[in-house]
Amino acid sequence: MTTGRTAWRLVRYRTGLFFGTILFRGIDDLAPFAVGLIMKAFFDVLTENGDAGFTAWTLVALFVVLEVSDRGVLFLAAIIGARWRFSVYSLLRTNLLKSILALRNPGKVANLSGETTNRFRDDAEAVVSYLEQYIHLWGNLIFAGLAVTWLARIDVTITIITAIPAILIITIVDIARKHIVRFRAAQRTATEQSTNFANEMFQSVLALQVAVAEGAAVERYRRLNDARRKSTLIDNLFNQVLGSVNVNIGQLATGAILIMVAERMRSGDFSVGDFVLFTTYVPEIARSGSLIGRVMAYHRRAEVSLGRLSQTIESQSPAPLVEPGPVYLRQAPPQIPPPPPAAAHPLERLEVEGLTCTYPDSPNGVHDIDLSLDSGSFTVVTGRIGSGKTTLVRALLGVLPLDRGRILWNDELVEDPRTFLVPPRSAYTPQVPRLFSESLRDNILLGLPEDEEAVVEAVKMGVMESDIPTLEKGLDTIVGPRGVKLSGGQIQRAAAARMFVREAQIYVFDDLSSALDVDTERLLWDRLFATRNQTCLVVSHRRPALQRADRIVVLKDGRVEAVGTLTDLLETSQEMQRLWRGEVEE
Amino acid sequence: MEDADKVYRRVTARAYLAFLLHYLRPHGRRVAWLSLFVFGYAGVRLTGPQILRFFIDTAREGGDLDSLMGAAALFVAVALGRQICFLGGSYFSQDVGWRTTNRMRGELAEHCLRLDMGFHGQHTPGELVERVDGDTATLANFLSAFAARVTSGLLLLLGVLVLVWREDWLLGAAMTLFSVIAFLIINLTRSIAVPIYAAEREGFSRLYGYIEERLGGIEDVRTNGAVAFVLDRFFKVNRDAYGRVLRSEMMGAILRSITMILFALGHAMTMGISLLLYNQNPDVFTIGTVYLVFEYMTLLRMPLFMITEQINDLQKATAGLKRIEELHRIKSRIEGGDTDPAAGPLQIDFDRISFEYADDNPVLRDVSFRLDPGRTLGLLGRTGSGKSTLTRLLFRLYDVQDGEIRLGGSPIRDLSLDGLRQRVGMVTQDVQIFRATVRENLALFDDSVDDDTILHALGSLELMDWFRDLPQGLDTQITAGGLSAGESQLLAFARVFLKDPGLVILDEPSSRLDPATERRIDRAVHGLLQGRTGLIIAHHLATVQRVDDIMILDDGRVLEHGERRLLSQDPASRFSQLLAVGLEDHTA
Repeated sequence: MTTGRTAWRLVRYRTGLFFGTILFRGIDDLAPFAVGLIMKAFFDVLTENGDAGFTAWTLVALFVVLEVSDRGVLFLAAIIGARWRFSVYSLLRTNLLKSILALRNPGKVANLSGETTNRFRDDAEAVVSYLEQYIHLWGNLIFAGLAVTWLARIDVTITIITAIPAILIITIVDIARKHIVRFRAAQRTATEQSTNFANEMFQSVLALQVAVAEGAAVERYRRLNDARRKSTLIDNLFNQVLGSVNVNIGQLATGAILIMVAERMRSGDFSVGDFVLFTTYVPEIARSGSLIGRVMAYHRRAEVSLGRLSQTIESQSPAPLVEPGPVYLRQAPPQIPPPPPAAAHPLERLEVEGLTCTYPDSPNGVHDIDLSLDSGSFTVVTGRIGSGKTTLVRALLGVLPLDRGRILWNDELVEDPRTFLVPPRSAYTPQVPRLFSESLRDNILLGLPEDEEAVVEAVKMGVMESDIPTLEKGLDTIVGPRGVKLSGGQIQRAAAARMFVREAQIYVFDDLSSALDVDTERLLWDRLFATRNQTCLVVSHRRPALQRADRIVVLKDGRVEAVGTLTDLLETSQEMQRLWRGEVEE
Repeated sequence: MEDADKVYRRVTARAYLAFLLHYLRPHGRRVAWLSLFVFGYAGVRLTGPQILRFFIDTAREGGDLDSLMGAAALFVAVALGRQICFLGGSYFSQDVGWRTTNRMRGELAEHCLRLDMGFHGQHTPGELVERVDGDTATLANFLSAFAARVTSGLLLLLGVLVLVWREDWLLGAAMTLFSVIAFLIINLTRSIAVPIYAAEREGFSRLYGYIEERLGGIEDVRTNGAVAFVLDRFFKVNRDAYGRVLRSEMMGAILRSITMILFALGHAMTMGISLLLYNQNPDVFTIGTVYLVFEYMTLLRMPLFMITEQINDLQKATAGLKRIEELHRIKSRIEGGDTDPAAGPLQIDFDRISFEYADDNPVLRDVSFRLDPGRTLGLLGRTGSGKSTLTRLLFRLYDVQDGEIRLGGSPIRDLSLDGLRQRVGMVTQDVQIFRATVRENLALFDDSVDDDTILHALGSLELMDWFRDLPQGLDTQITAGGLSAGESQLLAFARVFLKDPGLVILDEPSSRLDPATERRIDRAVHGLLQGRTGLIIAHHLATVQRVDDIMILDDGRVLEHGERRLLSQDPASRFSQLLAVGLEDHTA
């Protein structure tokens, strides 16, 4: 999808507001034409050069009326324009967020959350300000057309000379185009590096303080900011030279008029009114002409930003970004749809065949994994660091894209694990769970209808019930960004509660027990098995989990090394023996 | 509104000036160039209409063609000068603006980084970036061009008025009166606008903070079926920002309307007076002069609008400045003393320590213990029993409400913060990896750490195999998500190795590690603890078996504390019960 077509889709999104803004802006842009005519008449009346049909006083009154009504028009343009701008921004933001939430490989965005957030702001801005250029363009073009025609009636030669600068500018901007893209891209990269690092710094306050590395980190931030200053200056200077050339040429054209009319004015052939009209219109015409160049420059800018936004959402074209849809500015969004009822076909067996998932720039990954989980079974995936445990469960749940392999739910192919392996079929606690700056209750429910009993039950399942009274406001405690007000273990158990409150056929835990002590972990498994015959897939290397497993899958270097019960594996698998011994030997 | 107004007025002219001087002093030469261009611009703008008047009157009188051509050539030269001044002024103002705001960003970032964890618990990283990066951006113009532009605006204004007074006193008086009224009205609107602009920024800050946080937790959101919920909240935050934007835009439009209508009236007034004067005596008040006055009235827009714009910008800058000052005013609740901790392994004393994060929820109650230098203490207890808190107190990430903690015999309140933290090494549960080179990640951006030291640390952790696989050695960039949790943990260990501390705190160091790797770390930890005091929170018996002392915390109290050997031999001790439970766990 071309940038032009993309822009057109955006225009179509709020057509009324867009053309309303254009209309009022356009009327305003035409005002100088009328002002010029009034001024010409004013001077003509004063120098008794022809009869304008008005007295000088009437012209002064007309001038006031014109200016005041122009202001009214501009007021409307500003208000309608603000509505339009925010609507389009909102659409871009909404579609960007929706697309990102549906990414095949969301991990990258999650790691670059600061950078991606900037794209919500700056790249969306580049697109919207491109459209805004058109708002200014039309009125100016009509003005230029009218003004040129009018001036040509007075003197064609001089008028032609005034038209040339506009053409010159367009040519210059045309030639300079590719540099705009380059400078802009460099500027954006430098900005990203700076804000990304700032984000990383503030995400790592504890680590930096503990290491007394605040100063050194800020030093790096300063260097990144200096690089950003340089690239911004180049980008802006270049844009301004291009942009100001036209004002310059407008002034030079006025100079040219002076030279050309000197003789004729001396002979009284060219009136002061004509002169006033020329000097009023010529710079305006040049400015209007330059808007075409400006639109082109902004077009390039938007193109760069759309490219980056498409890349962010892993799309070949920016089409998904401009897909029209509600953004709920005037009325509140509708109620969240109730959670889907339990699956019509309860899990009998979940199978994985030949699952392969690799990273482009890391040797880690998993290859040709076969796995079969029966309903009610407890499967533990174990292995040493980097053996692919987390990759396996993430690929299964569709948060990493599969290179090869398929997933079968009750012998039926799962077309898209991203949308299929979610509640009420599965729920997940990641290795490093993220909580949000909301109340603990909201973090657990994440939009499920309020059900105190269910929350209490889930908290209990997550072995967190004894922590609640110790929190400032119990379940209503705002947990702070990323849950910083909770301890590491509490975050993990809150995440477990978040998983348990969702009715799911299969629970997937990535290393849930690592932040739990022996007693707490025991309690967790006890409660889980006391209440239901729950299907579980657990990444763990801890003995309480391994001992309970119906089946253990040992991974090594991204492949299945051995599968079996603990007793079997301890006899047959060297890797299992090493993993098992690791914990007690010393 | 009145209260807000009072707050904003508190930023006095003197404070602005001190602020400006502070940031501009290092850029004297650049500011001089900037002023030159900006003042030059004012001069050039005043000259243009004079040339045109000369041209019109000379032409009308049928004057010398050569002087007409000369005037035309001069006009062209002035036009070129105008362009050069514009570009030069713009370049230098941006350069100075970026240099000063960058300095401010650095200072603000450093300030925030040094604030206590209580502060960071209340502010998202996204919010802080918006304040460090976004709020400072609103000051760029104020810091660089404000003074020059306002002065040049005033010069231009004064120039116009003086030149018009010279033509006719009545016109001069009228235009002066007009300028005064315009200024008063502009000033009147100032205080109304600032809080509305601030509210708009606040709305965006919340919106982007929300987005940033949700993007970071995208996996949690999706796998738990919360996409609709995240979108729903997004719409609400977005809608709130919308309301703020509309109010702010409306405010801006009203302000602009007032000034523009004012100008239309001003124009009409000067045209009327010119008309009278011209009709009186067209030989004294020539048609060229009528044109000149009209041009000057048009030109008057420029300084008045420039000053309005600067004041508008000042309003935004004031909002930004206020937010920045607010941030700067927040003092870390943790203030260091000025002594340095003793050398060698450090003794720990906890003397009747009580601590709570929020009111009425004690996390530690009356905890007292001593750990002799060079010994290692294993800290046990359920999660939430206060173990992590205890280690954080030792680091002065928080201050105790009651009692005294001593390190190497000195109360930690008397120790300098950097000194304290330099002498204590800690591996936290959540390891932060930066998208930077391996070297930067290990030395945490400290350039003074040499490669040999780093390689030695990696060697001690048996990470040399991993190191040899790195394509560019220590210069290899670590990409986001490029390390497993275990590898990250190992890097965190290497960081502590590099610090060579007198006390090592390991907060659940072996979580998320597979047993094979854990053994590697265990050996490394063993080496690290040689000749150092150690405090280890661990759930793994292997680790616990090696410590000298054991302390069990329960609900913030010391349940048991003693030598490990003695406790494990005492069948009545909680520790030996734990061992039994643990061992039972391990003998299936």
